[in-house]
Amino acid sequence: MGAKAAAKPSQTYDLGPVEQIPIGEGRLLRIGHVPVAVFRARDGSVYATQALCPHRGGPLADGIIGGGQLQCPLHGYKFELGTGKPLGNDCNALKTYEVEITEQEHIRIALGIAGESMNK
Amino acid sequence: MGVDLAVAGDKEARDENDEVVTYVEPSQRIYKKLIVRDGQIAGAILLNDGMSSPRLLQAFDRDEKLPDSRAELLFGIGGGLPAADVASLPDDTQICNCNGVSKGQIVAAVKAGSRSLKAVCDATRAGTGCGSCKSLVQEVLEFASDGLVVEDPSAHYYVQGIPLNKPELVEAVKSMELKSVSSVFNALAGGREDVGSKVGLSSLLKTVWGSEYEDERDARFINDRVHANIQRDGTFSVVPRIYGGITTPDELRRIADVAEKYQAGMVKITGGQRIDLLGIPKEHLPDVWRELDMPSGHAYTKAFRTCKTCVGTDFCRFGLGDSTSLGIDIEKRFQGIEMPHKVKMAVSGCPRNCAEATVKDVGVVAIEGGKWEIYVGGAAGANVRKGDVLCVADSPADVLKYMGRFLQYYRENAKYMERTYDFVERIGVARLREVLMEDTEGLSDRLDDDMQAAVEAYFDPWKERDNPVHENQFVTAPAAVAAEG
Repeated sequence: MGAKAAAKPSQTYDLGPVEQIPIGEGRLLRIGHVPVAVFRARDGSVYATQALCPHRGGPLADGIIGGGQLQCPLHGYKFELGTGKPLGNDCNALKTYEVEITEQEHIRIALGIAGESMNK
Repeated sequence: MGVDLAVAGDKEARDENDEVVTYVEPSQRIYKKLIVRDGQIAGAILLNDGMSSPRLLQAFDRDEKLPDSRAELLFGIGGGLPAADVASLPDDTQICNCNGVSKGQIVAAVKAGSRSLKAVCDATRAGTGCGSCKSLVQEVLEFASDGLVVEDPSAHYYVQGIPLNKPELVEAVKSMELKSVSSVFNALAGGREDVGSKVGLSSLLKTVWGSEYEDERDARFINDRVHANIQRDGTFSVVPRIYGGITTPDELRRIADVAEKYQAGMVKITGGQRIDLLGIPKEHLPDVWRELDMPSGHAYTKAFRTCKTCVGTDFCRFGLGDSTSLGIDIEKRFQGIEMPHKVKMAVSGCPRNCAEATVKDVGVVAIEGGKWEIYVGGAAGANVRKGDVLCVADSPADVLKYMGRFLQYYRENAKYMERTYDFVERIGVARLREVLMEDTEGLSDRLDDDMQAAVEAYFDPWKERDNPVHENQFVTAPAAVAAEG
């Protein structure tokens, strides 16, 4: 399971089979106009964060994940996957989204109304 | 031994009022000369001076009043000069020029409890760019910590996530037959993955196991997942291999066609005598490679990169050795072989050294008599260092052999991300000559065999254009989902 959901009305979306993301990697998924970086960890958990690094806009889905952490591919800035908390840097925390794997092995994500993040 | 030269300001006295202070030690190749004017340094030439250069150059930059004892200046006697050095810097002095970290920020981190080099670097990001400021960061740490510096045991670990140094880790990996990155975490870290250790482990396992290595793509940096170099906007750069820097009109036409068709944002001649197509989206990489119909230049990875050459004997009226043919042979032999860090090479056909071979990780210079000097540990990037002569080879075949032997030794013994210039300094060229040329450890044949195996395992990664390891290997964003869900 990924991040905590804020207590706001939200909509869930089926993003398709989890296999579309290679194991241990991330991919950029889009819900309407909202880009979300979704990660599939080796231990089976999934995480979803904002798409771009707050430091210099690096594509987080191309980062490396491990031990519940995410490292941006551009300058190596690290964040906690579950909470978005910055690790060893002064960036704002990443937005994170509630995400889970359904019985059909699909990715289901919760977004706020009209594609707004729930926990900004 | 490398040459360490610093020059600043005037080289000669301007008039009789200038004071010239010199010190010469021919056998050690040490030469120091200061021009002192009005009690300040007006010029300095410092050859193989070591410790006192930074302090003197700083005094020059800041127009500092010099102490009365010139000897103290030249030799840093009285002890603790480095500490006194950083102590005198204003807080806003930039220590890390990559990340813009000031002395004051480092001092604040130390006061807040960071007491090891790693802790300070993690807390401030100082030293995490090119890494060349780390010794200065260490000095600030020592200055600010009132002697309470902690040696972080992890400074000796090969990667942060596994508490073993490189020899211990290699031993564990071999004895427990750990062939994948996840198996190393499971066996040696209680199953706890460490995000910062994955790439280093994959490099080491590939070197230890060769073709038996069990590749896990998530342990690779994005560049090595898609075989191209990520750029600041998330697009990629594509550098096809141009062996020895020699190309043809036909090849150039193909490159031009591809650049036009895929709207490369920039077409750049690289420092390694190749052509870089920049601004290519990940999705287009397979098509770009297919239409270029050239092998990967490995410009994106910790591996042998390229071999720069001069014109050589075919056309140059000074050429003594056929540098272009040797450069091409070098690239064909060592292409794609993973290394602890990137490795750049060059071959010059005569001592005029137009290919700048003496400042490459491995460089070759043809000399009269059909011989070739092999230099190792040269650098002209974040550090500048003239390489040391490993040996003088009698033939191009011997050049390839000794070069390969050095590279295999470097692969096995260097720390991850340790460039050859640090490695050669750490081991010492005398020791390298003993092990690699005189074979004092009886390693030569085995090193040669292992390098040969690495050469034979070469596979052009751009062939993955036709056989991707995952259907979305080159996909940034799989299909969008309707917002209405």
